[in-house]
Amino acid sequence: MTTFKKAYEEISFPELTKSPITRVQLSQYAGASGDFNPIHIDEEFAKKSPLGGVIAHGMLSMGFLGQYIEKIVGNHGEVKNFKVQFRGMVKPGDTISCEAEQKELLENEVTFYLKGINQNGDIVVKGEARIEKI
Amino acid sequence: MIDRNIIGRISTPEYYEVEKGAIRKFATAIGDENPVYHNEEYARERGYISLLAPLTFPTTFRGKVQDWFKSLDKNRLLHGEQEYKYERRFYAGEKIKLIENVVEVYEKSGKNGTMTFIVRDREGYDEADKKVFTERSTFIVREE
Repeated sequence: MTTFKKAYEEISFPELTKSPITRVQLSQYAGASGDFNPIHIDEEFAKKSPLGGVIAHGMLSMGFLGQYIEKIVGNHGEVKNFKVQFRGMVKPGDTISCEAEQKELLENEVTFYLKGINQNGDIVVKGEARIEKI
Repeated sequence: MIDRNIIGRISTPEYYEVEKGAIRKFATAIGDENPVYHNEEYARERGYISLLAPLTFPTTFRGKVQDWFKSLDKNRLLHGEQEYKYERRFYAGEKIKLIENVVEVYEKSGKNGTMTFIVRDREGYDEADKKVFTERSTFIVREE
């Protein structure tokens, strides 16, 4: 029986590079999340805004990190706390890769730093997640 | 300048049914193929009562937009931070009661001028009225 702590001592991080973000995906995410802010889906509106074009929902990038942390955790515990800061704009065509680093490992608890990085190496979202043994 | 009187006003509760189709659509939009969001049989084998709601799923609970939020200039509005604290995870088939309130409004001056930070909490409760999660969003409004 692998203990919780042991599972995280022996962890190897999976790879997660998302497919390039498309406008279709932004429409899909708008529909699924209910966030129809035109800055994410209406090119005409977005062109006239200070940003000059559509940008992805920050919550989509957080969703990528959520996917990644669940992939890391698997069935070794449960995510109790998950927080991020949005650091940079994400646009259609951008490719986000997820990275993690173990911050603290206790007997029944582990914390990871998480980062979403675009194709230029810029951090667009960063945060952390705390996992507890069930 | 944003009126600090918005702090502490607790919204009228809204209720949301967590639907399997909504979980699948949400996970699909993220491009997340984890079977706990798609395959009920698999989710049950993991010990869940049904499909698991993804960590950021509470963002889909959108009811009445509060007046203070409506009045913000969306061209100057940024989403700064987001946090989820779970007492427990929740699943398809559950009914969630949601209440929200603004917990803090403050200003910071930087090289890009003054920015106003608005911190909003939304708390989700289950049918036994036990807290399930707290979602904390920090919005940033840039000065013109």
